[in-house]
Amino acid sequence: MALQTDRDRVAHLLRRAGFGASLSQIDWHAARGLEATLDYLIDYDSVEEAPQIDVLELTNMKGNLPAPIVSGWWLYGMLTTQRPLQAKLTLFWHDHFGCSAEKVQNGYLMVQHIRLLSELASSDLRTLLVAVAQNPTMLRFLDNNTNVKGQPNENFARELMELFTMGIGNYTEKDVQEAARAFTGWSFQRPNRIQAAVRGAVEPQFQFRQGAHDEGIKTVLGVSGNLNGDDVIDILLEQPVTARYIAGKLWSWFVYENPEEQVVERIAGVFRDGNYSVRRLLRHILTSEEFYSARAERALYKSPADFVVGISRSVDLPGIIDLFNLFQESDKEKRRLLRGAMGGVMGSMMNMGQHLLYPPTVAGWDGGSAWINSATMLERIKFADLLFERKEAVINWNFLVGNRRFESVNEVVDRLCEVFDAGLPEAKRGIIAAHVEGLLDRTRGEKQYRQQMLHEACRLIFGSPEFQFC
Amino acid sequence: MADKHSRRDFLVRSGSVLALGLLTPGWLRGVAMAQKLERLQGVSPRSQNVLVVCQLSGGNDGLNTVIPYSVKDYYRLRPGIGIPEKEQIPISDELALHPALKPLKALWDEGRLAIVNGAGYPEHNRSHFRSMKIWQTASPATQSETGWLGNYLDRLPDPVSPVAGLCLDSSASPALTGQRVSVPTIASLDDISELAGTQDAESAMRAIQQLDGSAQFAHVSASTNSALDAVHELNSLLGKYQNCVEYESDNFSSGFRQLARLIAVSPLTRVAYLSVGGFDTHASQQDKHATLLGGFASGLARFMEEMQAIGMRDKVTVLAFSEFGRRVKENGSGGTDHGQAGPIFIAGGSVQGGLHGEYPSLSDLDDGDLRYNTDFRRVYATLLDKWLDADSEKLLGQRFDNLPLLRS
Repeated sequence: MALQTDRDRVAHLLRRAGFGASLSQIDWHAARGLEATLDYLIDYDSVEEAPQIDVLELTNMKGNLPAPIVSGWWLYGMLTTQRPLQAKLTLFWHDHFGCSAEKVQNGYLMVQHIRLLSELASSDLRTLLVAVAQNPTMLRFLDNNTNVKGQPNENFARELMELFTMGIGNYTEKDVQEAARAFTGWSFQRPNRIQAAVRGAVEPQFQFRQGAHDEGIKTVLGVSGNLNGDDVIDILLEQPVTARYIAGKLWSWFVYENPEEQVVERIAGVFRDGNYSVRRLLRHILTSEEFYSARAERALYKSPADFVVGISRSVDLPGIIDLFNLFQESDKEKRRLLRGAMGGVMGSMMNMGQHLLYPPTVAGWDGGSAWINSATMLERIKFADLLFERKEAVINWNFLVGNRRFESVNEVVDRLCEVFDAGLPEAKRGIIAAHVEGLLDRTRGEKQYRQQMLHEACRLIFGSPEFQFC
Repeated sequence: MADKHSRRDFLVRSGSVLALGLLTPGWLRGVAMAQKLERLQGVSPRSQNVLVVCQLSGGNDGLNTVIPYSVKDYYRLRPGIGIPEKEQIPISDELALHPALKPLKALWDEGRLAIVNGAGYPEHNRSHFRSMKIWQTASPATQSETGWLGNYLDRLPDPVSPVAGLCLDSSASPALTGQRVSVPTIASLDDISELAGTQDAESAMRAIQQLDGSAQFAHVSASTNSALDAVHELNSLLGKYQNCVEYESDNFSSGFRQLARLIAVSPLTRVAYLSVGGFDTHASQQDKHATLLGGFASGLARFMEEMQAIGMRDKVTVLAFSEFGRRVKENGSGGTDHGQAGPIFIAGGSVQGGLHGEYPSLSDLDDGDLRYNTDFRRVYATLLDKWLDADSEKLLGQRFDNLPLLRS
């Protein structure tokens, strides 16, 4: 198997702890070595972030911030970030705490949610759980803002156990009902105009409504008392199954699916011993022997984010479409440009089954092999059309191939596979080259001929089984 | 199978044409009729039955869908979200439909809509994900890798059409997962011609799917090949027919509209699957639920109208279900939490309309929920045995008594 050289290992790490990288980025990291790359990725607080769009400036005339604009802002962040692991973890937590703008219906709340997840992406699980439980976006998404004494709403309490901590089958219906009582009164408040003016506050804030809180005795997983929401979170963190569930899920996201029993046991231990520090657990995972093993290499299905952001980053797409203009334009113009620049990419992702900010259910996306079906494969193939089909194609020959002389279609296909980190064996590259040659129309002039060559080759590369894995 | 003459008779009698007739001058009516008849040229004769499964995702509030209007507890437990009696649509001495289901009343009156009350399964699970999987795999006790319709499609004799089964969605339904077949999932039938490439490009794409023995890639290859097969087939079929009934634009209507087109042109399609979400109404459920049910009812009613117009109403049966019903007592948010039993709807020209199963008692609840009394697999078994000509005992792993849901 590959992953024999340090460069292979660095490229693998960049695929997993990020969204892949361009050839020159891989070279740069490889020159500094695997250790330095790990530090760069994991201790991302010390890496200066690329200039980002101030999303609040994108508010429209009516004072609204439409959720699709927020998705575009976030996607732009993924495409340009200098902290790929933070971006990937933010996506992990968005998938884990599957709040959808479909129900939240408020762009500002979605911004608040994504910022929270990004800020706490590698903190400890308790901090994250409490912050998410008190986050107005979640309070609204799972209706806890209307969970009141005497008439509890079980929505949040159930998903907290089933999806956010322990996993199904480790608690009873009674536990759900009792936990719901403990979260009664957890709500949020919108600042009124005067407060906003005085404190400069525009964002809704968590509010504990004493009067709506059930002060009675509750029993959750065998622990009784006048429990509050924090107490329930502590009880859930006491359950050994919680560390196993979360650590196992992170492993499945970053290394390979269905980890061995002894691996789960080991990483759950690391997680608990490290006070549930996500950063510490990730360092363990990303330096483990298993992470660089043959079983892990190109073993994970690419999510649409891996696919789309990966391709875009490998050719520096944001640089090409020159989003820097965004910062020099009026607010209206910024919105228009962002929509235009991100629209096609976002639309593709959506059709591939991953509409950012709109996870299909609170369980997030099914992921893994479920990313692939006939509809999504057609979309993955079509992504090549987005890059090459337009009149002024986003990516041209010079950019991808440069001024080198190519003797054959084979050489062009080899180059493309290298740029896109496609992992295709030589035999398959030969098949692609042979077929591309048959599809080409030489009568339309050299420029069209070359563009068509890139286009047809990329359709086949993007549609190959190998390319669906990272 | 209706011949052209009787199809025209259908058209003349069908509501949309009559409505058009009242408002348009004679010559235009003639043109409209000619256009409709022209459209019908593309309809392919069908000898075998088709089953459309419509999944209401999120847990439909069955109690507000089919309402036990004479039960006082209903109004007592649902002071905020209960449907006032005067707005309900009575369908029997005890039960009424949600007002948003009005478009289905005509089907009901004709005896072409059956409702199975109290449907569920033993040892209920209130998790969306687990419960939906149970309905999709027809397997409450054990985890099954294949779906109930995938199992059916797996056993169809070769050669089957690449669209013998079709899932109209961007994510595949586990109900259609088979061991042998890879059922195409297609996000939209409206832009199928855009997806179809040249013959050469298609064979190139097939060539790179080849496996050289790698099991890791089997799923990708099967999905891509099934996409290529389906697009190829659909592209040659769908152009022959345009819908002859107008639909609303909600998700149900859009789905039913596309499936009507598919069924009109693809005689070998046996199973089509549609799912629409949004039924997880934990808060402020009244308007949301009414909008969803309205889309469902309107989409289904128009679909049946179109099936009638093209002479296929007797060949199509629609099954609509949700993964669970909701809690009887409303919560403090103007909504309802996850519950247990709920109604199943079955509609079609060959359906024996009326009420089946027993309506669950509101005074004998299971942890606040309606108790199931009819295993949903009895409905599946009936449709497999009587409608799809299959052996339900083999497909479901055990024998379930059929229900009298179909006209003999």
